[in-house]
Amino acid sequence: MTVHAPPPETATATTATPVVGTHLPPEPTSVESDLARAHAIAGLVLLLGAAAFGIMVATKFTAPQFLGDRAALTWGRLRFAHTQGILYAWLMNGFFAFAYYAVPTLSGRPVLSRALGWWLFWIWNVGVVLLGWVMVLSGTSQSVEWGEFPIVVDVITLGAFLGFVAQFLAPYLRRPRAGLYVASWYYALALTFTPVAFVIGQFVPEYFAPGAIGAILSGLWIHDAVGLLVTPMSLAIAYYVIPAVTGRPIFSHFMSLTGFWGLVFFYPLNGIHHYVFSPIPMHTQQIAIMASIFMGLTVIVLVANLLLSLRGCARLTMSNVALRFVWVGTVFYLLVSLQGSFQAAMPVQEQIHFTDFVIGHSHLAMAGFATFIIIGGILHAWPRIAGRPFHARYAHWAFWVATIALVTMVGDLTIVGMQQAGMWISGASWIDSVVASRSAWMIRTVSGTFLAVAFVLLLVALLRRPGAEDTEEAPAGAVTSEPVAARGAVVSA
Amino acid sequence: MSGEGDTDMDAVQDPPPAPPGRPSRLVRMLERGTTVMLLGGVGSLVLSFLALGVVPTIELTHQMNQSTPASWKPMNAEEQLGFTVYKREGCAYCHTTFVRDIPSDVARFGPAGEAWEYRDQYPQQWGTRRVGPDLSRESGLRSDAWHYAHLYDPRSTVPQSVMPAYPWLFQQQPGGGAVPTEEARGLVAYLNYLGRAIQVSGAQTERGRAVDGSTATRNHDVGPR
Amino acid sequence: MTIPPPRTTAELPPDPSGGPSADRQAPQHGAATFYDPDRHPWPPNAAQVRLFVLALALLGLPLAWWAVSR
Repeated sequence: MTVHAPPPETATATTATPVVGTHLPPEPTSVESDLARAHAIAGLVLLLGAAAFGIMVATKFTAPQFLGDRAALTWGRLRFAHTQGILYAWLMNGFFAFAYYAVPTLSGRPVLSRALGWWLFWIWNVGVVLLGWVMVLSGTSQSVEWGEFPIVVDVITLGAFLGFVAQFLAPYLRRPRAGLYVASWYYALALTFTPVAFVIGQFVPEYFAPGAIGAILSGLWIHDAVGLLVTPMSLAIAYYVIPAVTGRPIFSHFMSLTGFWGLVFFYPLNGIHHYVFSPIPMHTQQIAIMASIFMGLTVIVLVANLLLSLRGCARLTMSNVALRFVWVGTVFYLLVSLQGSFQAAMPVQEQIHFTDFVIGHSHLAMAGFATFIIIGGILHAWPRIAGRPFHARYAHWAFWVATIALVTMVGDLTIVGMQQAGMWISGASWIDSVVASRSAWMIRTVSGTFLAVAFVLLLVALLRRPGAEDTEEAPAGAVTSEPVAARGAVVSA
Repeated sequence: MSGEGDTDMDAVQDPPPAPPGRPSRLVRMLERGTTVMLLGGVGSLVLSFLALGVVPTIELTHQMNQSTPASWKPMNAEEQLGFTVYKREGCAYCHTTFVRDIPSDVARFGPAGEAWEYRDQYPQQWGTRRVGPDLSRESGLRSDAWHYAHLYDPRSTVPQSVMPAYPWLFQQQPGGGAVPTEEARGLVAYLNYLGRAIQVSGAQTERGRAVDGSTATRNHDVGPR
Repeated sequence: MTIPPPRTTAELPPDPSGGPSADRQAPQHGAATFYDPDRHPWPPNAAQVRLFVLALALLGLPLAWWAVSR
């Protein structure tokens, strides 16, 4: 791997623009390496905290007395800290890290302000993540799923998020009529959609919308957070890294467009499928379920497009660990989306809803799809933002440990979820379904611990200076033949 | 990554060849940043909140105004305190509080939930996971003493339970034993409030009557046979 | 610290239209691939891609009907 030694501070170079044809102007651009690196490291360090909360929560399923006599370490509060930590501490830090690398490159313009970036870095990690953790553990929280941090933290989160919106949209707004590359569409979508959705999801059920009405809005928010924040920010990384590593265009522009606009239209309509057979009007539930089915079909198009972009150079996924993380994350995306569509359907939902099947689904989405793609993005960007390669041996280990641990966890939860569903319908005593789940819950704890081990390995891979034999030899674009590229490339809309 | 030899640099220097075919106007429009932000970000948000937020809200408001029985009372201060504790400790993350209108749920827990039952819950605590049973038909099912013992040490009433104990809701007595605090009393009051209204008034909508007209609370330990 | 942006064709994602840059981005190396384009009628052309998307959309209709049936 060739790595450009970073030149002294303040250097700004011009892009080699003709590469991207009409879509990048020959303007100077700058990658915010320091901010990207800081967010990446902060995200991974805080991820260890969020994972530790998760392991504690999982342990309590089989040892309910474990850490049981302190209010701050009770199951409910730790779960708040776990899920909010995964979203705000890990995923968002990872997204911001990659955006500081990718947005200036894609738009050909610098972000709004580097000083603002450092303010936002500290506000996000201290004022949102650490403050939020302290408050939910000490008993000040908001019992809204995917919104457990209390209102005061929500206000800080909103302010900081608007700062990030300004930071990353400014480069695009400077050329509003320019055609954008696919990855930029996803950035622009997530950044414009989320602030208002966040306000509606966090504040309205708490103060203005009681009961069933609140459930509608918090259902929408649960899915807006997953579908219009986490998903597009992850897909932006996938759409960036895959062609960047292979050196080949995205397979089909038509499929890029169909996937994007399908996601835009169908995903926001999905949220109510969290409350099927509830007092919410039945046709509202049915619209959400039908939208979920079409969302799954949209994802088939989207993922087919990404995977076909690897055609003829699949060997790169073996040698390039960054690409491999993105590739496997993309496959997880397909699996988790098809699973989501399937379990939204009423005949399925009737049985498996409320079981661990759904918990397996959410871990496949967050720890599989989003996490794998972010890790791939950070690894891909690392040589440029850190000025030196990562330690490839540790990164390879991290990949295998994470993959095996995650597949074990999701498979385990899926199976025990079906078992719980069967027992509930069979008429068994409730406690029997709890007792029967015990061994599966133990496997979940162990696999979760290994997942955390993979994150430690990853942190070591980034921080440890590699020896000469520890960097990867993964010549980009090296594994293809010309006819393939020529024939496959132009499927334009 | 490192295929970046001189050849690639040379390729960059080449003048771009003429595009084979210009994308259509629609496609060029859809690629534009403003389109993505306005139609994608703002448009889909507005559409989704109108179709799946505002419209059902109007319907539900209307329906709740029609169906709320005269006997319905919002939570009193003690139940409200219990609701606060219920939210703070994350009870809703293991216990749902709505019975779905499907046979297995109704047979195990009682009549399906109706929207008016929840009209004083800010925010709603329906839940999305059942490790323990649904609690929305809990009123009158067990004695207060059972609840206190269960909250203080769940294994004392249900030996195989995995529920956390909540000793901080109790005051330890010097001679051993524990006395429920105001919070514990509130929590038990709230548990007894859950489902009381529908027991008093009976189901008010087709939904609650659909599977079984009875509003009796059931012992959820044993489900349908 | 600011470092030069990536300066190779391999680094920047190519033109989304797949048009002008596609040919120039064809890699210079003739290493082995996992499939032989002469033996497999693949990848599909634009019409086949559209047909695939249309087929999925049509497949969605019965699936959606099934999904909301109780």
